Amino acid sequence: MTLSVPFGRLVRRSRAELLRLLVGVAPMVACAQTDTTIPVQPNARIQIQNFAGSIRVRGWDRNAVRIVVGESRHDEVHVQGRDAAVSISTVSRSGVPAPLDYEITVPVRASLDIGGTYTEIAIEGVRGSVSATTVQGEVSLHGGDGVISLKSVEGGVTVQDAVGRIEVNGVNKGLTLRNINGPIAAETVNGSIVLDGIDSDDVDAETVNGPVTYEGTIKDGGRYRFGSHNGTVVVSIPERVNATVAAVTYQGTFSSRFALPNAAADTAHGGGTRRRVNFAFGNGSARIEAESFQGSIILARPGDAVIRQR
Amino acid sequence: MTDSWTDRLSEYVDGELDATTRAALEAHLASCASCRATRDELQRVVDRARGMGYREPANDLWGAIETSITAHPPRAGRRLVTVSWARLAAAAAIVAMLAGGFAWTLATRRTLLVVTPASSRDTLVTVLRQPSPTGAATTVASYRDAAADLQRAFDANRSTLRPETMRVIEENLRAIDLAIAQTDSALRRDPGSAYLNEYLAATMQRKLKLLRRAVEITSARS
Amino acid sequence: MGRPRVTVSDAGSLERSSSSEGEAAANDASDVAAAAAGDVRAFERVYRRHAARIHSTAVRMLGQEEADDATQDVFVRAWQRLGQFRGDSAFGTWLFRLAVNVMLSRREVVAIRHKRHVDDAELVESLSSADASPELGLDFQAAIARLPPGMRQIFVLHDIEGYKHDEIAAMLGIAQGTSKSQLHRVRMILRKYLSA
Repeated sequence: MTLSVPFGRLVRRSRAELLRLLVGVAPMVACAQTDTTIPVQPNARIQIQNFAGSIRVRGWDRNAVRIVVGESRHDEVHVQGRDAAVSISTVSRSGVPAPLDYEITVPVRASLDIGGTYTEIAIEGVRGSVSATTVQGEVSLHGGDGVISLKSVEGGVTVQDAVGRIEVNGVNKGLTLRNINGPIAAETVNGSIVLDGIDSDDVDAETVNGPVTYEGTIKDGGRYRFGSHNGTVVVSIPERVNATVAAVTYQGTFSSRFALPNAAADTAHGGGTRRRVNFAFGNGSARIEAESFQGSIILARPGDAVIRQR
Repeated sequence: MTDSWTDRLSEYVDGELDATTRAALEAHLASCASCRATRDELQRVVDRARGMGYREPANDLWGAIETSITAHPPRAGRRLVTVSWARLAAAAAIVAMLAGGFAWTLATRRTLLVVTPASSRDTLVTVLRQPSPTGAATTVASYRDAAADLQRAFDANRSTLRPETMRVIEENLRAIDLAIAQTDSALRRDPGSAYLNEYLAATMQRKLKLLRRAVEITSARS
Repeated sequence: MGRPRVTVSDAGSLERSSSSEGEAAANDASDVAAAAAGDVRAFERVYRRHAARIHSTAVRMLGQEEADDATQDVFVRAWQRLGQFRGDSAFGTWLFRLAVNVMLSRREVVAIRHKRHVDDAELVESLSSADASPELGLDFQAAIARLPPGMRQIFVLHDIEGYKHDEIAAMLGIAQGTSKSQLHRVRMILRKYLSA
């Protein structure tokens, strides 16, 4: 196991202290490239912080964490812990850390806490909880099981084949969620939200600029909310669902690609072209809210081409 | 002497036993002096632990800490800004409150939630049973104050970010501002619309959330 | 965690600290905000307010030798992470959680360095045996220090700091049942050292 003592701190201590510290510490490995493997429990907590560059994480079936980091004369990689928790971070010797590329392999069931600023994050082949946050950089997750939270400001966020409670936050780009099982909260500002192959009873997806499309289950008693400010909202409604639909658009249009049950209550109101449409399928058990301020709302059957167009 | 009840005594002392088990254990205690003695000893351990206080470090550690944290000079252009903590907390509360889905209206007779800036981190939300225009004005004013404070905090430290990041954040703040303005003008034409009122609240919440995220990013060290 | 704390400000004497938790929290609020914006003097005030608790916990969790270093680590890390403090809990609570994380990961580093020679079971055995009595000079605090690290952490977090078993289980990566049974074992050992 690699031990690192913060270089800066070594320098600033007095000689006597320095000696005392060095005597008690394993030799610091000054790494060109780090390649180190640490034994951990199958469900260890792995924390990774890298200010700039990239972090790629893969799962394997060993009870160990392998850390491979590219060369850097400028910065250090700190690795602390073993067994239950490991913390991996980039520490700069002075000023802003230079970009580093991390390749980390973790036990499949490890839980991940990943952060960076100008960092791209890509995770695959894992079955534990995942938290990944960055500012400039994409976040992509293939897998995941548990509490999942993915955030970027400038980059897009993609998650697929995940199970659990999913929270996805973007700002400037779109979000894509595929083959997800569990409650979902997805929010962005300037981008689309694509929800595809969803198996859930609680979905909340909102954006400002951009369309929202949903293709997935509508379960009895479920709650589904899709909103955009100026984008189109397309919701696929499987045959034989039990759902109450409330569709509101202020300046857009409402339409359906299939015949609606009975005469839908359609209210045009006030001084605008506001459309509020309420109707029920089956026993109306699930609740679907589709809202767009300026854009249109379209209901379609699963597989309808209009869903793919967005 | 130990019996099978001894192993449950800690849970008993901590109040973690369900009612049935607790009753059974207490019945046993009534007739077992040894268990009673053990229970008392365990309670004394807990009390002793609770009473353990803190001691200042013998050495002064601040010097080394200060050296570490000031080792990296502040990024160019950064000024020290004291952001009103109360306002930041108020913003957090507004975000939480609006996220709870409470509908607040500008001019209806429904229950209003009024957020009052507080001097501490404690509860910031007061529910009024009798809504009044002043109450509504306070809510909107609170949002504006919170947004203004967060914007100031962001502006003060914006140079810590790369220009393209700043630009992206600002473009998106403007996108939300536009949405707020459009909703607001729609609301003037249609003030009674529950949908528009809720939507305005939700869009204001988006703005505050984005501002908070922006402030968070600019404050974070590498 | 809600209970008033006693701070010893000079060696030996026990003085009840004058500021209540509410006062401390109000003072923290403005200093933390200033520190998050880069004000080092404000952060020093924060340090002064919380150093005793962090350092005492470091002594209990890691031992006297490591406590100074660990305390410095905690505050440096806190300075770096101030921007992430959202104010949805008291600052002291957030800081303490951060401190526990720092200390838990340090413990592994220290353990490897010093190569524990004594088996955990032996330690527990020696503490529990009838021969280990106050007459031999081992008082309550010393007995805590001699506990195996895992058990000691659970005791410090639960009985001294007031965390619940579910929180401790999450922090230490163990099952709640394990936390409860270990705590019970610790208390059964420590009851012998109460009179010292």
